[in-house]
Amino acid sequence: MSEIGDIFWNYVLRNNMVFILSFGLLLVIVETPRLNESYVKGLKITAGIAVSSLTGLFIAANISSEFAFVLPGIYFITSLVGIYVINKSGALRGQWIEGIPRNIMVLVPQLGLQLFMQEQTVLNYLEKFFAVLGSIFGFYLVFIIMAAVKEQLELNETEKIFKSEYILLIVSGFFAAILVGFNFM
Amino acid sequence: MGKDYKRIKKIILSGLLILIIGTNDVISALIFSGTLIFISLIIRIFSLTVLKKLRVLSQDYFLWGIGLALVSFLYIVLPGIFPKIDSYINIYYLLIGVTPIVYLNSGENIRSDFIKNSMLFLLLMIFISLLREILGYGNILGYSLFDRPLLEISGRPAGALLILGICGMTLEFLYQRFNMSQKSGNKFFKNENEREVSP
Repeated sequence: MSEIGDIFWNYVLRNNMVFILSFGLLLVIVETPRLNESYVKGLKITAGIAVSSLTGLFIAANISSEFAFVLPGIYFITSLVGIYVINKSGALRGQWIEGIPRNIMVLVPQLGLQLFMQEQTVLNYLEKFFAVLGSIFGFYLVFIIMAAVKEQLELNETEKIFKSEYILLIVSGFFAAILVGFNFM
Repeated sequence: MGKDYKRIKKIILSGLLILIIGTNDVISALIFSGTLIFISLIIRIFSLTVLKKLRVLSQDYFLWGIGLALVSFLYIVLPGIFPKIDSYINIYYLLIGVTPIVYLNSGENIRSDFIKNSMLFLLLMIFISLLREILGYGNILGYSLFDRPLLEISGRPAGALLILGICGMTLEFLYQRFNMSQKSGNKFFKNENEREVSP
């Protein structure tokens, strides 16, 4: 059981899908609302990612290795199902920039997580299941943390330059360094 | 200046932010950028020709599917043609197919913004990767410059985010310094705009 727990926390922290793998970073930077709204919005987006990742994991586990080349296509379809769930909940609607819908931002973490799990060949099906759960939990935590950081940045009376998206990138960089335990030093 | 600054900001957020972790050196940056430009071109031509004639529902999803299929094809085929490429491509290569920058104004004229966006993306990608390669590995194009890395964190995901953030901050500073009259605009903070409306 502790091994499963280790895998879960490993994917919450050391393989965090936002700070370390950067799959959900764009989504988190752009879409995090006020802190008190982020709990619900984060849950809706996380639910969509969970649906696609767990479905993708289930299909990948039951597909023969000869047909591994079709997996990106399957992951894409499961990601669209996740987007459907998110759209139904009303979390990501409308356009982002220059004709691009906002829900493309959630496609990257969905697809990225599924492809990343496919690469984790040392894990068995059950371990991958808990790894996906850990990744999703990690995403939700980061969503709330970044909402809090953004809110603090906006409330503070500081230069405009310190309220830009780039500060969030630097903050994410420090979080990433902390999560890996400064193992580069 | 203001227009170019916003273009760079758009490219950083909609392209570099997703792919920069997957490129540790200049060669991988060139491979990623080349593929991204190629896919963008195909998508643009496809949406201007075939997709205009076909009445496809949910055009966005259709285009994303085509983008991903093209990248997946290249992901399988390229290492067979150029065996050395295998060490430079990873799962981030597949994410090129769903990177927002590929679909920026995909239904518009090829000449409109495509060339500028592509060239800027290529330059920024090479610049950041060059910094990461020199600082994180002490190399340049695979040739060793220093005995040991100057700043090992640069080779890690944390370093990629820090370098991207610092470069962006420098750019923002220069923009604000020279264009005090123009507001930088915070178009990308979608929810900030909503907050201005709400009481």
